[in-house]
Amino acid sequence: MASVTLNKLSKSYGNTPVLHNIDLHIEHGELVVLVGPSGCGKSTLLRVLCGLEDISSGELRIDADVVNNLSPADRGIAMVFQSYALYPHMNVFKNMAFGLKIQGSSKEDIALRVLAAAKVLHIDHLLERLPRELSGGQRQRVAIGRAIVRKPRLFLFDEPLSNLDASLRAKTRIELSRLHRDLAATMVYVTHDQVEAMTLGDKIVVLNEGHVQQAGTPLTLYQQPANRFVATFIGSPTINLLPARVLEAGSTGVRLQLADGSKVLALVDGSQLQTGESVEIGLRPEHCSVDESAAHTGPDDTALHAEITLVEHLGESNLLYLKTDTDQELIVRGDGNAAVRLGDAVIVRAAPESLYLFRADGTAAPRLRPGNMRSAHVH
Amino acid sequence: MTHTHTLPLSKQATLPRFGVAPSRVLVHLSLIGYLLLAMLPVLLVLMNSFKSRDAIFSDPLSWPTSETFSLIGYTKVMARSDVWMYFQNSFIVTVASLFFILLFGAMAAWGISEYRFAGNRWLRFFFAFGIMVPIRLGTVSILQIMVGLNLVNTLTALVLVYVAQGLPLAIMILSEFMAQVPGELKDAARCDGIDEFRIFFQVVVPLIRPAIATVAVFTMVPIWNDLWFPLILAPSEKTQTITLGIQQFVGQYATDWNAVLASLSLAIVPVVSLYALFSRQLIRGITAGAVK
Repeated sequence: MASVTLNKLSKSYGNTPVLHNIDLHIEHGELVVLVGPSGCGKSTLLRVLCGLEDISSGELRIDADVVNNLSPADRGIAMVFQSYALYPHMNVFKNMAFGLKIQGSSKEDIALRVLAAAKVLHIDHLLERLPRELSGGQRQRVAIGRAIVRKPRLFLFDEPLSNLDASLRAKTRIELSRLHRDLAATMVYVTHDQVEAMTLGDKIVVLNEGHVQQAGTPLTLYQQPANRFVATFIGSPTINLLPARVLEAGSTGVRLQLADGSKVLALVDGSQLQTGESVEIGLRPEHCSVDESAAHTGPDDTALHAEITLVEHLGESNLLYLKTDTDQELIVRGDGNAAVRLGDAVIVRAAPESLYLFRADGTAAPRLRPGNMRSAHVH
Repeated sequence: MTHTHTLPLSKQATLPRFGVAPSRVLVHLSLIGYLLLAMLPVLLVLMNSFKSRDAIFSDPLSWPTSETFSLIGYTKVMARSDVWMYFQNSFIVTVASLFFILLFGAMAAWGISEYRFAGNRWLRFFFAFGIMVPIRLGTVSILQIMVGLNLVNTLTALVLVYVAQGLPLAIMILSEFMAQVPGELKDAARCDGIDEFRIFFQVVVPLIRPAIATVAVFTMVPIWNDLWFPLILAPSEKTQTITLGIQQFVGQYATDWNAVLASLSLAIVPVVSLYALFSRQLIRGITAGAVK
């Protein structure tokens, strides 16, 4: 398996820049997820890694080799496409064997490798079938099998789960995770779905408009987003943002005044902030609680008076859509067992340590007491 | 469809023809009528080729009866060895031209539809122009070129001209079909380490088989039937095509009609069988869903 390093990598189509100075390092055996909204450049970056697009400036290394000008096969890369891209006129066995045959591997070697991969992916009973005779999930596994048999240094996945239905997606996600562990492979995975990103990635790279917004572990991105964009992108439902003004800022905390006049404390490092600065505080729906009265509210807590305008019952939780006195819209994730009614006047409460703070330019002030950032899977 | 499929299968088989809407009957009648009109000359030729000479003139529109049936036309034609040579020439010219038109046409179509390079658009215009301008306008120049190259009275001259004639349309049609081959398929092949030639021959070409069959079918017929270029470029005894050869039987004063009709009927056979071969491929390709 290989490590991948991108050094100030940029790409333009003619005069249109698409990727700007990407700096990234991927360790041996890591599964890195490239995530971002449509048009952010994640698929382009993947194609550049693969060798299907050329690099305008900067350097791409796989292990120690500079591979800017190498063809995809010479880079030791295998890619799984969103539409699987199976050769329609060849059966499953031939699909998986084609690349090896071209390389000149012996028939026995090819058969061995194809059968081994087919067994791992549970498609060994489908080897004689043509792609049009397979279901979506089976085709996907053939596409993955075609990548595995080449024993590449690096696996690339381009939104492989988007064409599957929801239940199959969840199942295949877990299988991919298992595959990653079993193969101990370096993988780069592109998706626009942040649940896939959070659950599969050892590291997530959030892209927007061709720039890397932040790269880090899923929990780091969740608890300590580097900027407003990452905070709003990661986390479902989206984080609530409230305008506020700085009253007092220090390295141990920041006191702010909200639009409704209330004063709150945010446990963030405010050493870069100025008094009177206009900022935004972030409240994640799952970090707020909804109370009937102010009985539980502490002196530094954020407490907003709001009215419930819409409720989505998910069973395990309720998604409450609220409107504050100052016409600010909020979403809060509440207890699924709580009985709530539209129009109820409630108090939305959040503790100081759960607040996020973003300056006018979008950069985040680091939280002093973020929640858990340690994954169970880190060895 | 104006009728529904609610009857059980057994009942459907015995549904009277007039259970169909009148507009459909009209459509079928007019189509059959036109078919008869178009086929009548061909039918006449075929019918009369099996009759004796007198029978042709006394009753040209009747079917051959036991009295009038005669194979003398065919025996005369097949006894002449040069007729077989004419068939051979036609066959060689048609097959060779088809081969090069399809090979180079497909390769050119692939080049202009797949790769971005300076002048791509101009090349497209150039080929489109070739469809619009009839090649016969340049006959004099072509003859001069062939004389200069010493290719007059060779089959090679004919093949070269027909390839030039057939390439533009072939390229235009094939490039349309090639543009429909999914981009990710080609990318996957490149990731598999397959070089561009192999991608072309082993991935793209199998996927556009119906298009190739279509181009072959309607490129082949004008080549086989052509009288113009064989007459101008290769009129010698050894290089005559069948279309040109049959003209010999039509003399100024006396025409051997038996031989003419028999050889015309024979001339239909190769091209109809080639068409049958390709059209089966064509239909098989379409119904198999080879092109996504």
